Amino acid sequence: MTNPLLRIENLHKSYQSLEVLKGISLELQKGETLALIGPSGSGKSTCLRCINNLERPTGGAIFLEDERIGQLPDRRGGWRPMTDSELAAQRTEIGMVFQLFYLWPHLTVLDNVALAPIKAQRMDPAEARHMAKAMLDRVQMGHKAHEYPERLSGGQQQRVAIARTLAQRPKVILFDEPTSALDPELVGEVLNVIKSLAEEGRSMVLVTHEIRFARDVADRVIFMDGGVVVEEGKAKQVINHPRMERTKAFLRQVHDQPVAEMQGAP
Amino acid sequence: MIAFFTTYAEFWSDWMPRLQSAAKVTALLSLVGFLLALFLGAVLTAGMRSHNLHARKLCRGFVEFMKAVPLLALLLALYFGLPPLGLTLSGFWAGALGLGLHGSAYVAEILRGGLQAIHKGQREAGLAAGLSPVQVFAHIVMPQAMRIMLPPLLNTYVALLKDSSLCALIATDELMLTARAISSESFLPMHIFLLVGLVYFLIAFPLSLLARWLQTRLNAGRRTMGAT
Amino acid sequence: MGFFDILQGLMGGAVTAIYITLGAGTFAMALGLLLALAQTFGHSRWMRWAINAYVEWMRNVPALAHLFLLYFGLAAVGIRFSPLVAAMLGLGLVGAAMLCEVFTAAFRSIHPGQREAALAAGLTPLQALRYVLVPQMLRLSLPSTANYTSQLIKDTSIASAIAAPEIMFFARNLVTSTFETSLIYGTALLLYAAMVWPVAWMFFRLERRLEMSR
Repeated sequence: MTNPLLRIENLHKSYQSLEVLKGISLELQKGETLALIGPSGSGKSTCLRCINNLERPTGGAIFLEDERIGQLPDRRGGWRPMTDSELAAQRTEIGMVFQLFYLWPHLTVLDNVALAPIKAQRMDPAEARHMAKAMLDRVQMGHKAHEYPERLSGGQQQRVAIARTLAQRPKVILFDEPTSALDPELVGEVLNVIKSLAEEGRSMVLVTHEIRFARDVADRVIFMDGGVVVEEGKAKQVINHPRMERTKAFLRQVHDQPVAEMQGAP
Repeated sequence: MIAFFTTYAEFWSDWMPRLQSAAKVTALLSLVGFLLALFLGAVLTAGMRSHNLHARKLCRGFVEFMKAVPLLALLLALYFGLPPLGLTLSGFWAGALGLGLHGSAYVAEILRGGLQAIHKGQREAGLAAGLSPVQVFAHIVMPQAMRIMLPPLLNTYVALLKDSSLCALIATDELMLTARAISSESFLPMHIFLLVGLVYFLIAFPLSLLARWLQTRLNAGRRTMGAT
Repeated sequence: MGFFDILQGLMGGAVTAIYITLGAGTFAMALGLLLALAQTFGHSRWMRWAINAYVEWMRNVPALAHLFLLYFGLAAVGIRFSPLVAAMLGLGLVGAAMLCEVFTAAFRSIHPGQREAALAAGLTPLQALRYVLVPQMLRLSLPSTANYTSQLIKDTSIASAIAAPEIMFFARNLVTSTFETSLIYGTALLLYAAMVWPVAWMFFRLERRLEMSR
C-alpha cells in the first residue's frame, strides 16, 4: 500500500465549549477524489478548513506527504501551531476553492489567477501570466481574462476561482461546497470542470451537497455526522447501498427533496 | 514636570472666571448659529424638493457655494466686507450669521437624506388610509426621519461648536479669543491652550458619544422599521 | 484696484494653500493608514485604546487650538516651527485622526473571505495586506478621502491665524492697503471655490475609473 498523500489523524476541533470535530481520521491517496457528505453542522467544512489551517485544530495531526501541516515542534517536545506567515509555504501546496469564490474585485481575472504565483511563489511575472492564461483556458474562461470579477456570473467566477487554485500547482485541491451558492442553472458548468479535474487524476477533497455528483465522480465517499465519521467506502457503494442507519436516514432525506432527481437505483 | 501643573494652581483664580464667561459666549454663539442653520437648512431642503425649477436651482447653488467656501473666509467677509456696503455686524452676530449660513448647507443635506430614506411605501400607506399629505408628513414621515437625522444633526452641532473658535479671529469674545488674550498676558501658551482644548473636549465629547449611541440604537431598530 | 489686480495679489496665497494641502494631506494619509492598520490588525489592546484617545481628542478639539499649541505653545518650550510647518503638522494630525476612522471602517467592511482566499493561496499576511486588503480599502475610502481633501483645502484658511502667507492673510493685508474690502473678500471666496471644485471633480473621475464591486 503506497503512502497516502494526505493523512488526518484523530482530528479534534472545539470552539469554547462546543466540540465540532470529535476525532476524525481519514486518508487520501494520490490521484483520488474523496467526497465528504453529511448534514449541516456535521463538521465537514470545519474538517476541510483544518487541512489548510484556516481553522486551527485543537487536537490531532494532519500530514501532507508525511510532512506535518500547521505545527512546529515546541521546546517541550510537543507541537505548537504555526503562524500565518509560517504557514504560507505549506498553504501553497494546498489549494482551496470557497463557496463564495472570494475573487479579488480590484484585480482583473488574469491578475487574480497570477497573483499568488508571482508573489507567493516568486514566479517571473510574464511567465506567470502566460501560465494563468493557460489555466483560464483549461476552465473555458480564457476569453474573459481582462474582465473584472463583478462582470461575471457566479458560475464563471467560481471557474476563475478554480483556475486561480490550479495556478498554484497544488498537490491537493480542497473544495468547500463549491456550488452551494450558485443559481441552479450555473451549477452544471462548475461540476463539469471538477469532473474533468477528477478524470485528469487530480487529488481532491470535495465537501458537497450534490450527492449524485459525489456518487458519479468521486472515488470514495465519507459520510460525517455530529463531528465523527459514520461511514466510508467506495462512492457508489456508500450512496447506493449505505450500511449504517444514520447514512440511510440522511440519504433518504436528501433524495426526497424535489430538486434532486435520481437516475437509476435505488 | 510637576511644575507644569502647579502653574495652573497659581493662575486658576484669574483664568477660571474669564474662561467661564467666555464659555457661555461660545455656547450661546454655537446655539444661535445652529438654530439659524436649522431654520435656513429646512428652507433650503424645501426649496430643493419644490416643483419650481428656479427654486431648486437657486437652493442647490446656494448649498454648493456654502460647501465650497471656507468658514473663515465667510466670517471675514461678513465682518469686514459688509460695513462698506452699509451693514455693520458685531463680532457675535457676524459669527452667528456665518455659522448659520455655513451650517445650513450641511443641515440641508442631512434633512434631504433623512426624508429620502423613508420608503415611499410609508407615504402611500398613509395616503391610502385617508390621511392628507400634510398629515402624512407630520405623523408618518417626520417622526421616522427625525430618528435618522438626529445623530448627524448632533454631529453638525459639535462641528459648529468647534468652528465657533474661528470667531476669535473676528473679535468675538469667546473661548479662543480669551485664550489668546491670556496667552499674550501670561506668556504661558502651552498651559492655556491645552486647558481651553480640554474645555472644548469636555463639552463636545459627551455630545459625540451621544450621537454615536443614538446611531447604534437606530441601526439596531432599523431592521424592524417599515419596508426596507 | 481692479478685480484682476486683486486676484494677482491673492495668488501667492493660493500657492501656499496648495502647499499646505499637499503637505498636510500626505502626512494625514500616511499616518492615518498606519493608525488604521494598527487599529484593525494590531494585537495590543492598550495600543487600540491609545489610538482611540488620540482620535477623540483630535475630533473634539478645534483645529485652531492645535495650530496655536504647535505654533505658540511649542515656541514657549523652545521648539519653533515656521507658520507653514506648524500648519501642515497641525492640519495633518487632525486629518490623520479623521482618515484613521475612515480607513478602519473601510477595512472592516471588507469580507473576511478576501483575506482567507489570499492566505489559502499561499500569500503571507503581509502580502495579503499589501496586494489584496489595502488596495480594496483605498478604493472603498475614495468618497470619504475626496470629502476630506476638499475640506482640507478650505481648512488651510485657518493657517492665516498663525501668520501663514495664505489667501486670507494676503486678503487682510490688501484690505489695509487698498480698502476695497468687499471686492477683496468676494474674490477670496471665489478663489477657494475655484480650488475646491476641480479637486472634487478629479476625485469623481477617479471613483468612476476604479469602480469595483464588494
